[in-house]
Amino acid sequence: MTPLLQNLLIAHVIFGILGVGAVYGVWMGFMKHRISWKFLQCISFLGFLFFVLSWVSGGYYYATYYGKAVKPVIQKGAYPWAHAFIMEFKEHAFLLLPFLAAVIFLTLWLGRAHLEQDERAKRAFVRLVGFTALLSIVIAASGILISGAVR
Amino acid sequence: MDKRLAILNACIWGALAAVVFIVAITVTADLYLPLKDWLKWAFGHHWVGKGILAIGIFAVGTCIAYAISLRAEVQRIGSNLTLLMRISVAGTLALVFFFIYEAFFK
Repeated sequence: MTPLLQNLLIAHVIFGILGVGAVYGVWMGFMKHRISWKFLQCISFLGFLFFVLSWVSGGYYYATYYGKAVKPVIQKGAYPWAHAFIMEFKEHAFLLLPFLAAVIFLTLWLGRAHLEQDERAKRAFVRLVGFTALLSIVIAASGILISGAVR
Repeated sequence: MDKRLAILNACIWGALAAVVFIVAITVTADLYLPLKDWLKWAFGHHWVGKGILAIGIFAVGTCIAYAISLRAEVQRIGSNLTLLMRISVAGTLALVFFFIYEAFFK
Protein backbone atom coordinates (compact mmCIF):
# COMPACT_ATOMS: atom_id res chain seq x y z
CA MET A 1 0.00 0.00 0.00
CA THR A 2 1.34 3.45 -0.91
CA PRO A 3 1.75 6.15 1.78
CA LEU A 4 -1.09 8.11 0.09
CA LEU A 5 -3.50 5.19 0.46
CA GLN A 6 -2.36 4.58 4.04
CA ASN A 7 -3.03 8.23 4.91
CA LEU A 8 -6.40 8.16 3.14
CA LEU A 9 -7.42 5.05 5.10
CA ILE A 10 -6.38 6.70 8.37
CA ALA A 11 -8.26 9.88 7.35
CA HIS A 12 -11.36 7.80 6.51
CA VAL A 13 -11.35 6.21 9.98
CA ILE A 14 -10.65 9.48 11.85
CA PHE A 15 -13.25 11.53 9.93
CA GLY A 16 -15.75 8.69 10.28
CA ILE A 17 -15.31 8.52 14.06
CA LEU A 18 -15.49 12.32 14.33
CA GLY A 19 -18.70 12.22 12.27
CA VAL A 20 -20.20 9.59 14.59
CA GLY A 21 -19.22 11.71 17.61
CA ALA A 22 -20.73 14.87 16.10
CA VAL A 23 -24.09 13.25 15.25
CA TYR A 24 -24.21 11.54 18.65
CA GLY A 25 -23.44 14.94 20.21
CA VAL A 26 -26.37 16.52 18.35
CA TRP A 27 -28.64 13.69 19.52
CA MET A 28 -27.66 14.04 23.18
CA GLY A 29 -27.48 17.84 23.06
CA PHE A 30 -30.96 18.13 21.56
CA MET A 31 -32.50 16.06 24.36
CA LYS A 32 -31.18 18.40 27.06
CA HIS A 33 -33.61 20.61 28.96
CA ARG A 34 -31.72 23.72 27.84
CA ILE A 35 -30.73 23.43 24.20
CA SER A 36 -27.56 25.23 23.09
CA TRP A 37 -28.59 26.03 19.52
CA LYS A 38 -25.32 27.59 18.41
CA PHE A 39 -23.36 24.55 19.63
CA LEU A 40 -25.74 22.10 17.93
CA GLN A 41 -25.69 24.10 14.70
CA CYS A 42 -21.89 24.04 14.65
CA ILE A 43 -21.43 20.34 15.47
CA SER A 44 -24.20 19.33 13.05
CA PHE A 45 -22.31 21.13 10.27
CA LEU A 46 -19.07 19.46 11.38
CA GLY A 47 -20.85 16.08 11.39
CA PHE A 48 -21.93 16.62 7.79
CA LEU A 49 -18.43 17.79 6.80
CA PHE A 50 -16.74 14.82 8.53
CA PHE A 51 -18.99 12.31 6.76
CA VAL A 52 -18.27 13.92 3.38
CA LEU A 53 -14.50 13.87 4.06
CA SER A 54 -14.73 10.25 5.25
CA TRP A 55 -16.71 9.42 2.08
CA VAL A 56 -14.09 10.99 -0.24
CA SER A 57 -11.00 9.60 1.55
CA GLY A 58 -12.46 6.11 2.09
CA GLY A 59 -14.00 6.12 -1.37
CA TYR A 60 -10.67 6.67 -3.11
CA TYR A 61 -9.06 3.88 -1.07
CA TYR A 62 -12.03 1.56 -1.68
CA ALA A 63 -12.29 2.18 -5.43
CA THR A 64 -8.56 1.96 -6.18
CA TYR A 65 -7.12 -0.51 -3.64
CA TYR A 66 -9.65 -2.52 -1.60
CA GLY A 67 -11.12 -4.52 -4.49
CA LYS A 68 -7.84 -5.82 -5.87
CA ALA A 69 -5.74 -6.16 -2.68
CA VAL A 70 -7.95 -6.52 0.41
CA LYS A 71 -11.14 -8.21 -0.85
CA PRO A 72 -9.32 -11.35 -2.18
CA VAL A 73 -7.54 -11.76 1.19
CA ILE A 74 -10.86 -11.65 3.08
CA GLN A 75 -12.54 -14.00 0.60
CA LYS A 76 -9.76 -16.59 0.97
CA GLY A 77 -9.57 -16.17 4.76
CA ALA A 78 -11.59 -17.66 7.63
CA TYR A 79 -14.31 -14.99 7.47
CA PRO A 80 -15.40 -14.51 3.83
CA TRP A 81 -18.79 -13.23 5.05
CA ALA A 82 -16.92 -10.15 6.34
CA HIS A 83 -16.81 -8.96 2.74
CA ALA A 84 -19.90 -10.67 1.31
CA PHE A 85 -22.21 -9.32 4.01
CA ILE A 86 -20.54 -6.76 6.29
CA MET A 87 -18.55 -4.80 3.68
CA GLU A 88 -21.34 -4.89 1.09
CA PHE A 89 -23.79 -3.58 3.69
CA LYS A 90 -21.32 -0.99 5.05
CA GLU A 91 -20.33 0.51 1.70
CA HIS A 92 -23.93 0.98 0.60
CA ALA A 93 -25.54 2.00 3.92
CA PHE A 94 -22.75 4.56 4.32
CA LEU A 95 -24.08 6.39 1.26
CA LEU A 96 -27.19 7.34 3.28
CA LEU A 97 -25.18 9.12 6.00
CA PRO A 98 -24.08 12.34 4.19
CA PHE A 99 -27.68 12.99 3.07
CA LEU A 100 -29.12 12.38 6.54
CA ALA A 101 -26.36 14.52 8.09
CA ALA A 102 -27.14 17.30 5.57
CA VAL A 103 -30.83 17.25 6.57
CA ILE A 104 -29.86 17.35 10.27
CA PHE A 105 -27.63 20.39 9.89
CA LEU A 106 -30.08 22.18 7.55
CA THR A 107 -32.94 21.55 9.98
CA LEU A 108 -30.95 23.14 12.81
CA TRP A 109 -29.85 26.10 10.64
CA LEU A 110 -33.06 26.80 8.71
CA GLY A 111 -35.74 25.32 10.95
CA ARG A 112 -34.67 26.38 14.43
CA ALA A 113 -37.68 28.68 14.98
CA HIS A 114 -40.01 25.96 13.70
CA LEU A 115 -38.47 23.31 15.99
CA GLU A 116 -38.83 25.64 19.00
CA GLN A 117 -42.57 26.01 18.37
CA ASP A 118 -43.59 22.63 16.99
CA GLU A 119 -43.31 19.68 19.42
CA ARG A 120 -44.18 17.18 16.68
CA ALA A 121 -41.34 18.39 14.47
CA LYS A 122 -39.00 18.33 17.48
CA ARG A 123 -39.86 14.67 18.24
CA ALA A 124 -39.48 13.71 14.57
CA PHE A 125 -36.09 15.44 14.45
CA VAL A 126 -34.83 13.63 17.57
CA ARG A 127 -35.84 10.27 16.04
CA LEU A 128 -34.07 11.08 12.76
CA VAL A 129 -30.87 12.15 14.56
CA GLY A 130 -31.06 9.05 16.79
CA PHE A 131 -31.39 6.75 13.79
CA THR A 132 -28.49 8.50 12.01
CA ALA A 133 -26.30 8.17 15.12
CA LEU A 134 -27.12 4.46 15.53
CA LEU A 135 -26.56 3.74 11.84
CA SER A 136 -23.20 5.52 11.91
CA ILE A 137 -22.16 3.52 15.03
CA VAL A 138 -23.12 0.25 13.25
CA ILE A 139 -21.13 1.31 10.18
CA ALA A 140 -18.07 2.18 12.32
CA ALA A 141 -18.34 -1.22 14.06
CA SER A 142 -18.57 -2.89 10.63
CA GLY A 143 -15.28 -1.22 9.70
CA ILE A 144 -13.62 -2.72 12.79
CA LEU A 145 -14.97 -6.20 11.88
CA ILE A 146 -13.67 -5.91 8.30
CA SER A 147 -10.22 -4.82 9.52
CA GLY A 148 -10.17 -7.83 11.86
CA ALA A 149 -11.12 -10.20 9.04
CA VAL A 150 -8.09 -9.15 6.95
CA ARG A 151 -5.62 -10.21 9.69
CA MET B 1 -44.81 31.42 3.22
CA ASP B 2 -41.41 31.04 4.87
CA LYS B 3 -38.65 30.70 2.26
CA ARG B 4 -36.20 29.10 4.74
CA LEU B 5 -38.71 26.38 5.59
CA ALA B 6 -39.44 25.85 1.90
CA ILE B 7 -35.71 25.26 1.28
CA LEU B 8 -35.53 22.89 4.27
CA ASN B 9 -38.64 21.01 3.14
CA ALA B 10 -37.20 20.68 -0.36
CA CYS B 11 -33.90 19.31 1.02
CA ILE B 12 -35.79 16.71 3.09
CA TRP B 13 -37.56 15.56 -0.10
CA GLY B 14 -34.25 15.58 -1.98
CA ALA B 15 -32.66 13.39 0.71
CA LEU B 16 -35.70 11.09 0.62
CA ALA B 17 -35.30 10.68 -3.14
CA ALA B 18 -31.55 9.99 -2.70
CA VAL B 19 -32.17 7.35 -0.01
CA VAL B 20 -34.77 5.54 -2.13
CA PHE B 21 -32.45 5.75 -5.16
CA ILE B 22 -29.42 4.34 -3.27
CA VAL B 23 -31.35 1.32 -1.99
CA ALA B 24 -33.07 0.72 -5.34
CA ILE B 25 -29.92 0.94 -7.47
CA THR B 26 -27.92 -1.19 -5.00
CA VAL B 27 -30.42 -4.06 -5.12
CA THR B 28 -31.14 -3.70 -8.86
CA ALA B 29 -27.45 -3.54 -9.89
CA ASP B 30 -26.68 -6.72 -7.93
CA LEU B 31 -29.61 -8.58 -9.48
CA TYR B 32 -29.25 -7.15 -13.00
CA LEU B 33 -25.53 -7.22 -13.83
CA PRO B 34 -25.67 -5.12 -17.05
CA LEU B 35 -26.61 -2.15 -14.83
CA LYS B 36 -23.58 -2.79 -12.58
CA ASP B 37 -21.38 -3.07 -15.69
CA TRP B 38 -22.76 0.22 -17.01
CA LEU B 39 -22.01 1.94 -13.68
CA LYS B 40 -18.42 0.60 -13.86
CA TRP B 41 -18.08 1.75 -17.47
CA ALA B 42 -19.53 5.20 -16.86
CA PHE B 43 -17.90 6.03 -13.49
CA GLY B 44 -14.91 3.67 -13.18
CA HIS B 45 -16.47 1.86 -10.19
CA HIS B 46 -20.09 0.89 -9.53
CA TRP B 47 -19.98 2.34 -5.98
CA VAL B 48 -18.61 5.68 -7.21
CA GLY B 49 -21.41 5.78 -9.80
CA LYS B 50 -24.06 5.15 -7.15
CA GLY B 51 -22.68 7.99 -5.01
CA ILE B 52 -22.43 10.51 -7.86
CA LEU B 53 -25.89 9.66 -9.16
CA ALA B 54 -27.33 9.92 -5.61
CA ILE B 55 -25.90 13.46 -5.33
CA GLY B 56 -27.54 14.28 -8.69
CA ILE B 57 -30.87 12.82 -7.53
CA PHE B 58 -30.62 14.85 -4.30
CA ALA B 59 -29.96 18.06 -6.27
CA VAL B 60 -32.73 17.49 -8.82
CA GLY B 61 -35.19 16.26 -6.16
CA THR B 62 -34.47 19.32 -4.02
CA CYS B 63 -35.02 21.74 -6.95
CA ILE B 64 -38.30 20.08 -7.98
CA ALA B 65 -39.53 19.92 -4.37
CA TYR B 66 -38.56 23.58 -3.85
CA ALA B 67 -40.62 24.68 -6.85
CA ILE B 68 -43.61 22.74 -5.48
CA SER B 69 -42.91 23.66 -1.85
CA LEU B 70 -42.97 27.41 -2.58
CA ARG B 71 -46.66 27.17 -3.47
CA ALA B 72 -47.59 25.39 -0.23
CA GLU B 73 -49.05 27.55 2.54
CA VAL B 74 -47.91 25.25 5.35
CA GLN B 75 -44.52 23.51 5.42
CA ARG B 76 -44.94 20.06 6.97
CA ILE B 77 -41.45 19.72 8.45
CA GLY B 78 -42.36 17.28 11.23
CA SER B 79 -44.22 14.76 9.09
CA ASN B 80 -41.57 14.96 6.33
CA LEU B 81 -38.75 14.31 8.84
CA THR B 82 -40.73 11.32 10.13
CA LEU B 83 -41.19 10.06 6.57
CA LEU B 84 -37.45 10.42 5.87
CA MET B 85 -36.62 8.53 9.09
CA ARG B 86 -39.08 5.71 8.27
CA ILE B 87 -37.85 5.37 4.68
CA SER B 88 -34.22 5.35 5.90
CA VAL B 89 -34.98 2.61 8.46
CA ALA B 90 -36.83 0.57 5.82
CA GLY B 91 -34.02 1.11 3.31
CA THR B 92 -31.34 0.08 5.83
CA LEU B 93 -33.29 -3.08 6.75
CA ALA B 94 -33.79 -3.85 3.05
CA LEU B 95 -30.00 -3.64 2.54
CA VAL B 96 -29.36 -5.87 5.59
CA PHE B 97 -31.77 -8.58 4.41
CA PHE B 98 -30.67 -8.31 0.79
CA PHE B 99 -26.98 -8.79 1.63
CA ILE B 100 -27.79 -11.62 4.08
CA TYR B 101 -29.56 -13.32 1.16
CA GLU B 102 -26.66 -12.58 -1.23
CA ALA B 103 -23.96 -13.74 1.21
CA PHE B 104 -25.54 -16.83 2.75
CA PHE B 105 -28.43 -18.10 0.61
CA LYS B 106 -27.60 -17.38 -3.03
